[in-house]
Parts: sequence; C-alpha cells; structure tokens
Amino acid sequence: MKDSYKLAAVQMEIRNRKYPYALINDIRKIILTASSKKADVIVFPDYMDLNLIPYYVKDSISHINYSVSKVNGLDLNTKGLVLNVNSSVPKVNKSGSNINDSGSIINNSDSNINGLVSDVNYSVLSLTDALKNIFKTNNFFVKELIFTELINLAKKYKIFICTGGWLEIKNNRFEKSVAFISPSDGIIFEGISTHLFPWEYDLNFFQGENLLFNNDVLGSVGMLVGGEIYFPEVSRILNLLGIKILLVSNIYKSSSSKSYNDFKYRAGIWRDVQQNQVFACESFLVGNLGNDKLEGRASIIGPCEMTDDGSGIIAQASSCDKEEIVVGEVKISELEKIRKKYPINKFSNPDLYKKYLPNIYEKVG
Amino acid sequence: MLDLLNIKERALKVYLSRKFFPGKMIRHLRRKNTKRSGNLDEIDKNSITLAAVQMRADSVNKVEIYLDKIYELIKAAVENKAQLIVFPEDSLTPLFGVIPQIKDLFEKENREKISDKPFGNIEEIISESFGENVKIIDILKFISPYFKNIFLKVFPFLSKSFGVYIITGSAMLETENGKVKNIAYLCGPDGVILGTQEKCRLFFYEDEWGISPGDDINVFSTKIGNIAFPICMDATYFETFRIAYLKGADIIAIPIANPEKYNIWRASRGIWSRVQESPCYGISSCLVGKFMGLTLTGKSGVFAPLKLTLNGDGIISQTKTFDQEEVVIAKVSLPKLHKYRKEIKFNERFNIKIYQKYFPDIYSSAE
Repeated sequence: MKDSYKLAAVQMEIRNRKYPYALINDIRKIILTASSKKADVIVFPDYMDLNLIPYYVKDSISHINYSVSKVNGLDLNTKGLVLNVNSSVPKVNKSGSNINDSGSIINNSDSNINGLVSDVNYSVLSLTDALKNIFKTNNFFVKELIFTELINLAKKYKIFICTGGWLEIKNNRFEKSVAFISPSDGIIFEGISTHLFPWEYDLNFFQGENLLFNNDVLGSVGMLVGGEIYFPEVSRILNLLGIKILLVSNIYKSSSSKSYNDFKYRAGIWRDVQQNQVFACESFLVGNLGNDKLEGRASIIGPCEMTDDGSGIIAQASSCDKEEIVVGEVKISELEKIRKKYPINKFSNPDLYKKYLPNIYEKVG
Repeated sequence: MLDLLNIKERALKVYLSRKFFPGKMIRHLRRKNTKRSGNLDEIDKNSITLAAVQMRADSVNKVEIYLDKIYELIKAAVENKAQLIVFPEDSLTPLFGVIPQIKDLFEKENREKISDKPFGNIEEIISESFGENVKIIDILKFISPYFKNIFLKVFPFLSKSFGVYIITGSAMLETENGKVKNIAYLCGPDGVILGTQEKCRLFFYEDEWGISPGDDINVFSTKIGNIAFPICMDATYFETFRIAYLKGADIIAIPIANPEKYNIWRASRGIWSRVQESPCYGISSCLVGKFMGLTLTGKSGVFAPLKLTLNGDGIISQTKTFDQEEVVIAKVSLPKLHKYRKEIKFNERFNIKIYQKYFPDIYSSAE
C-alpha cells in the first residue's frame, strides 16, 4: 500500500442543467481536472441531484407543458425549463410550482393545474420545498445512469470516485445513496446515509444500517455523507475500525440573508478529524435554493499538528460559493508520527464507554 | 531512632497542618464579613448566570494570599450575578509555593529558566531536589491531606457565604484506596458538597506520573439545571459529553490546565467542538501562566451550539487574554437549549442500530 495519496475535494456549484448528460459532461470535466493533478481519489458532494432541478421540473410538468406552450406560445418541450433565465414566461409544474424571472421555483397551491397562470411568480422556496415538490414525484433512473458513467470515468482516468449523495425513492420514502468506485472493480461499496439531517428526518428518509468503509484501498477509507458528519459516533467507529482517510460528501444549508460562517465548517468533519487523528477530504455543494443558501469550503484536513498554523487544513477552496476542485496530498506515515507523539487512543477510557454505550442511547432514542 | 529525613518530614507535616488548618483558613475568610448574595433566591431558567474563572498559576508563599485570591475572584463573579462559578483544573497549584522545598523549586525555576521542555520537567526537578527515589506522586500523596482542606472546607464555606454554586476546579489528590486522581468538587449554596468528578482521560504526563483515571461521568441536578464537570482531557473526545448529555446534563463545565502555546484551532478541539456535537452549554475555566517548566494557556469562556450564540460562532462569552487572570460571565437560557434540541430532532436522529452493532466491542480495539 502506498504511503502518500492525493485527495481531490469537489466544491460544486448548482447550475441550471437541463439534462443528465449536461451534468455528466460537467462531472467528466471535473474528474479530468482532478486527474490532471494526479489525484488518486475524487469526492463529490451531497445532494448531487440538486444539479438537475430544471430537468426534474421539466419532467414533472411534461403532461401540462402543452397547455403552457399553447397559452404562452412557446414550446417548452424543446426549450426546456431553465432556472435563472430572463423570461416573462411562467412555467408550471404539475404540483403547481412555477419558475419566475429570477430563475427560482416556488410552490403555489392556488395555481391552475393546467398551467393557465401567467401573473404569479414562482420559485423554489427552499431545499425542503424542492425535495417535497420536485423530487418526490420523480423516478430516479438518473442515479443509475450517472453511476454507470462514473464507473467508466474511474476506469478511464484511473481514479477512485466517491459519488456523493444521490436521492432515491423506495416505497414512497427517500433514501440517500453514496457509492465508492474503484478504477478496476467498479462499485466496491455503496449504501445509504445512516444519520439524517433534521429536514430529512421530517421527510421520513430511510436511515441506513451499515457504515461504509474499506480497509484495503487508499490506506483504508471510510465514507460519510450528510448527517453522518454531525454524529461523531460514525467517525469514531470508523477510526476504531482502522480507517485513516474519511471521504466526506457534505452540504451546509443556511439562510440566504446570512453571510458565510466559518465556524459552521469547524463544527463539521474538522472536529472528527481532530478527535480521531485521521485525514478527511470534504466536498460541498454550493449555490442558492430560494431562501436557502448552500455554502462551504471544500478541504483536505488532517490533525492540527500537521500544519504550521495549527488548523490542520492542508488544502482548502478559496471561496465558499464558487466551483473549485481542491487537491491535497496526505501521508499515512506523517499521521502515524502524530498518533505516536499524541496517542489519543491510548488514553481513552474504554471501560467507561463500555459501561454506557450503546445502552444509554435507548433512554432517549 | 528517627533519621534526619523522618524528622524533616514530620516537621513539614506539622508546618503544613498549621498552614492548612481549616479553622484558621475559615477564620481568615470570616473576617471579610461576606454578604450573602441573592443570586439563587429566584431562578429564572431563561437567564442562568455562569462564571468562568481564569486563574494564574503563580505560586503564593502564604495560604492567606491564595484565600484572598479565590475570594476576590468569587466576589467579582457574584457581583456580576453569577449563580455558578467554575475554577480551573489544578486550581490549587499556587499553593505549592507554601511548601518550603517546592517554593525553592519555584525560585530555581525562575533563576535558571528551566522551562522549555514540551511538557515540563517536573519529575526531573523533583528527583534533583528530593532524591532519586522521590517521585511526583509521592509529593502529591504527601500534600493531599492539607490541600484537600481547601476543597472540603474552604470552597464549601465560600459557596455558602456567597450563596452560589461553585465548582472548585481540580487537584491531584490521594483517594481512600491510595490512588492519586485528578478530582473536582461541586459545592452547593448551602455549603454542602453535592458531588465530585474524577478526570477520566489523563494527560500524557499524568499517566507517566502514576495518576489513576476516574471511571464515571456524573451529572448533578441543581436549581439552575443539570450539571456535569468532567476535567480537561475529558473534553477531547465526544464520548464524555455524549454520556453527560444522555444522562441529562444541560451545563457541562470543564476545568482546564493546558500546557501548550495558545492556538485558536487547537483550543477549538475541546469544549467548543463538544457542545456542537452534544447540544449543551459549556463552561471552560483555564489555569494560565507558568508552573515548573510548564506554560499554561487558554481562553476561558461559555460556549453553546452555533445557533444559540449571537454571532453564530459558538461563543457566548470569552476572556480577552489567554494568559491573564479574568472572570468571564454569561447568561444562558435552558428553555432555549431544550427548544433547540427538539427543533433539530437531535435525539430522534441517533441511529441506535448502528451503535448496537459496534458498541461496546469496538472499544476493545483501543485498549
């Protein structure tokens, strides 16, 4: 096994992609860039489906497009539904949602299902709104399509790929899947998020029952997606299983009126990197969804002792809202040196934890 | 026939008994005619006032100087309406200056500036001064009965006099079974010791010295909420706060004595990170300054989940310096905390099946 690995974290901007192939094309470019920087692995962010909102909106209104076209004199089937377009044409989806001039989509329960509305602005109110009103009604064949393409890209560019989080609906419930793709063996492990964000809990998402890791590749890797990052149990278990590199697909949701808060970043996987003395490659999806702003700074992180400024941040995106690919090199031998000098695990108190964990969770769970 | 060492030892014991005689110390404090505060007369759970004491480790050559020091720090907190006052880890450190031979070591340190080893060179200094067979743990055992009087008599007297809760900070003290542990006490407003907490995760050199770890995290129910007070390194890992949280803690105090140069990132690895993971209010009280080759730093403060702080930075209130004596005050709201926990569905989002799958066996790999 190698000692040194180059990790690539993707900070991906939500764009108005009308078709899955537009997204695949962008993904290909990103992978190509990472590959040109000799990255061994690339990590995509959580909620990758949000890159296809216009596509899903179009799909969800297909049966009413005709009337909209008639009313407005436009052929939406050929033009598609584009976010952020300057058009006075209201475009309606079957749940009564519409796209306004500024490109946002809102839900309007009073709108005419036949699309005969022209004087009301609509926009996506929030991430939850998008989930409820756009994604809930669709089939997620896109995930299969993209995973197939990612397998080809992994092979072509000889790079490991962490797919990021992708939505699926099973038995009328959401679940969020993530997979790890090897250049030689295709998908080597995949599963669904074991810990939910609050809004995912509200929407009754399935909760996975397996942690995702592999001790035999890239110096031993574990994958975390979304809510898993905020429950330190996940990273601790992975650490104790011998995992040295965490591949993290994240999303930070805040109010669009608030400026970027770097403390949110520290409250994420950075904490777990420090208390487990591991590396992390963390990706973010960035952009605006109505009142929600998605932001973050994709990073490669190690223990504080690893960098001169004490932050442990080996490489980081220069912005919190632009598309960037961050590549950083990590050395397992350096990690071992730090673990030897500051042996956190050695001074843990297993007997105390065994006394309480897991039974104490049942008191509140 | 008594040998010289024995005579010196007995003489020192007599000396320390006098210096740390509870009646004498209490008399000294009684002369201050403390007026009991009404800080706990009416409890508004929306506005609980917490105080973190950042104390310097500078040695004192008289017990009374130490008593005056803690008295003034408590008084400053009480005057700012504090209901709970937290002292740092190793809060009795200045009192080592009262012991003649140790006092010499302080002077030696100042004279020769024997300070720059990463975690200090206390063991070395002790052996040089007291003989090869004398270890720091022997010194700690020797002084335990005297130092304990401060925690068992003085702090309860002060908590009663001022009518507030006080967490004494901690000290390495000999326990009934002969082990030395890092122990802190919680004193109630009626002068009763409500409970103790032993440090469960040791710092690297504490293990080398032969200190024993504690084996439980305690949570105490008080008028101002449920309080836990693990010590320093205990805040380095999530399990401490998770257990305290699941046992019902609202406020988790961490007495700290951190022997490293101040760095905001490194400082963020402890209590600040822990209250983000297990939504509670956190108080850190730091011992700062130099002590026998160690440089202690830290910014004491009151911390909370990001969303419960005005600037979204997880800090309600924090000292300005990392090396000076300060008292920092903050008001917290328990209903706000409980509402926040409910809003984010915190308890509901645990994945107990995963925990049952891996805990407790996974911890065997850390042993």
